[in-house]
Amino acid sequence: MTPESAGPALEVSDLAISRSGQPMIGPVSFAAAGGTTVALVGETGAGKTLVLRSLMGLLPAGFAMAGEIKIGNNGPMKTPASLRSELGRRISVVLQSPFTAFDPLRPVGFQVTEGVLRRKLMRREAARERAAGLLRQMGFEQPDELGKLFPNQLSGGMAQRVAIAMSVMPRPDVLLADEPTSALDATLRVRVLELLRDFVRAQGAVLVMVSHDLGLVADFSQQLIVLYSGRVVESGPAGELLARPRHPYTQALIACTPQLGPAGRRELPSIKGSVPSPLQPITGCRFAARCPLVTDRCRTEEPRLRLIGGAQVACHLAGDKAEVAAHD
Amino acid sequence: MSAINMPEATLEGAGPVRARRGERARSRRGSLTAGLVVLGAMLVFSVVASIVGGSPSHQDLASALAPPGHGGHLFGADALGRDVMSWVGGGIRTSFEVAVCVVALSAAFGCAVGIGAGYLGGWLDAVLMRLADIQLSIPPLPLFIAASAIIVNNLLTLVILISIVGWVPYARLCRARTLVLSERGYVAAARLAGRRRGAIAVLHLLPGVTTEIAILGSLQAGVALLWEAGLSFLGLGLQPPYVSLGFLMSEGKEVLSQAWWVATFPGLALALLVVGFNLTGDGIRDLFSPDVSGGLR
Amino acid sequence: MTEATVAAENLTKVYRSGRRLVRALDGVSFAVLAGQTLAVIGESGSGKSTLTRLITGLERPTAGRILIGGQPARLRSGRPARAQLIFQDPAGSLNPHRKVWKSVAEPLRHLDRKARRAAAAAMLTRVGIDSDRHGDRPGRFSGGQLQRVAIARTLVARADVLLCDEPTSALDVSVQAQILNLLRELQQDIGFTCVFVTHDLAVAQVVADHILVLRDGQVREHATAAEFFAGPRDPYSRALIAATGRRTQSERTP
Repeated sequence: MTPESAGPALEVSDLAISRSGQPMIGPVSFAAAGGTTVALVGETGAGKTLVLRSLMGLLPAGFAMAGEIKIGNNGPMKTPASLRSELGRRISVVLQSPFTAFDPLRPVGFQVTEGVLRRKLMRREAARERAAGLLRQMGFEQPDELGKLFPNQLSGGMAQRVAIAMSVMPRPDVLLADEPTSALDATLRVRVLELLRDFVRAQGAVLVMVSHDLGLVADFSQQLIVLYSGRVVESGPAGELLARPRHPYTQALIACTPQLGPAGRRELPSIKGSVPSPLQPITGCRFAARCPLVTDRCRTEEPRLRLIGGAQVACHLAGDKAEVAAHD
Repeated sequence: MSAINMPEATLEGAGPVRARRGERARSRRGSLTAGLVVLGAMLVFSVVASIVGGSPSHQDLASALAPPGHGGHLFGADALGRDVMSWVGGGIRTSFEVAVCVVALSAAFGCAVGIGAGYLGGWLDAVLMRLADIQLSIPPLPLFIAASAIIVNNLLTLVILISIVGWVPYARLCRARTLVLSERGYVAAARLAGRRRGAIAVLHLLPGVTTEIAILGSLQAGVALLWEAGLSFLGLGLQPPYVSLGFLMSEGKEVLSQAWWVATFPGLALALLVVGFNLTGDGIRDLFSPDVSGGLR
Repeated sequence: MTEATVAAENLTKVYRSGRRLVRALDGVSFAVLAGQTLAVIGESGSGKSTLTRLITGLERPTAGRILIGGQPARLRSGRPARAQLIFQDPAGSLNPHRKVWKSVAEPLRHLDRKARRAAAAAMLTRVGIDSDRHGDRPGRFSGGQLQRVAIARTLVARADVLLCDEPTSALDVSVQAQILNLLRELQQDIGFTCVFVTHDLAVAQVVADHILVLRDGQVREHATAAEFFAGPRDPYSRALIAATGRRTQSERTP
């Protein structure tokens, strides 16, 4: 697939997820050019995994989705079935735990090529060559030997790299990654993210990555979308968001993430309380109960996303002259 | 190893998962309700049957081999004039007694062996598991035949014998489960709290196996029933004065062409009992099984 | 609460895995001063989890020894261990069938029920669990809350040494901050010695007075936190810092 020059490579419009008729997550909208990475950031219960699953067309029973997904110049997809049919073709998935991506009873070499062969996307010889090439890119010098191993013979890091090779076999336009590095050791994380980024650039594909680790994705994403309790609270260019976060939640999240720096033993800034479930009906801003800057308006009126300085922010107070400072 | 300890990314929002479980549980409880209904109905019937039909052992040669409906015998009478319905009622109660006692005994012994072997490991594990292997290698029927030469017509000894034949599945299950559970953090924490191993086994390991044991037990109840009936049928189990379904069936076998009711009604009762226990076992298993991602839309 | 030092002398642990012998720990020696925190940094397979099991006494070393307050670390039935452990998986560390106050009260079997309940309630409240939740079972709590319950249990046991095996790796970043702050506050009040195992260098910097780097069962570096983060000497340590240090390139809020 060649990088698109006209229009975004991936466009998600008003993606909303509901459970049994009750609105739960969204709306989520973004557009990404080919070769870029979008990071969905949020904590447990924010709904980021469900957003990713809806992009795969794999929502569990009881959940419904609304909105449109457009890949390149193709027609918009609105139903889970239409998205599912693209899995293994235009859309590919990398999961958190590498071992769940594999059938424990077959050698990995077979599994890497199985998808494209079954869908008749490539001939056997071409598939094998491509697989060997990808595995070499992932750092394996002897792909044929590796291919004979079974999943349980691989370490976590090895398995994740093979899983990524498996996902990019069909040359997908969209790669969906659910916390692809959280099960890996620190030194491997950077390596794996670099591999993902390199593939995406070379392919002109879009990587949509879910993560709870703001700091880690910062270096590898061009766009950030911050989710809180099912709503987008801030979204925009990664550099902008991290340098000048405008939503109190984003600021708090950055403040309480430990970073290596000059400071030693210390108390960390934290957010009191816990995240409300996306299903819980709340009047006004969903972060109001924990926000250090809360006003009466915040408790009654839910803020909408507004464009402020290059980013979309859902906060009544953002953009005011008074600088919202990091709190303790 | 961080790769293995890291919890899976599960579906976010505890609410949806629980609600799904509720919806599915309602349909799954179908098996359990059906099983309990069947067993309950059988018990009620056995009580009613005894009230209506009188004592099962009461012989009335005048109504020998009376067909169903004649002479006050709803299910007919056997060659000695005994009321089939009240015999079936008594037999159901006997079957229940045997099933419950056998399950209780073999589960208790099997659990003790299994948890002990799984938790303490080492040579004890090896010895106990070899004991289980030996047990399994002894064919039950020759064992019963041999035992019947010594022990005759006694409910308690029959229960013990059937339990001896049936404890190994419980032990194996408990051992497997214990091997998993003893790796859990709370077991280590209990040791760090100063608990002795025995207390840990009872407080922390035993509750973790109860569900599986309940499922196995309900299924094994049917097996125990069939053993008792089969042995009584062969003349090795329970004879009068005990009231056994198997005994009546062996009698009925002799007169099958003239008086089909003597063998059929106890046979039917036996089948229903086994089905009832199996449904109950299935039901318990379905109720507690993890809710696998409920399908795609 | 007596303060204790933790000292490891040439600690070695060898396991048999199938036919191979695995050296989980090889000649590890270090000392932690009373009331201080040692962060043990290592990746999978470094031996850090084995180390925690040896310090608590759950396992015995193949060679060498562990001393707590000068006494060898030994698990005695009937008494809580002097070194208690906080596990990585908060849900797995509590019996799902028991109410949380009962789990917290487990180290106190020599007291009667009323006293046990009171002591557990006091400690649960101290770590931030409301009293109306004390009778709930673990399934009703979030990961962060479960970790608090686990901490309450170790305090009830009057631990001299608190071992934390990646206690916040499974938690969200804001919850992690709450738990790290809680541990800090409790250590200031009670004065226990802490050995904090982690793979996250940034977290280590927040909690540690001293750093111990483990790789393949061996000590690669042992230094004060200040020295370590200013510039470690061992190339492996430097690689670790470099891998994490990338994140400091993102700017922080002014």
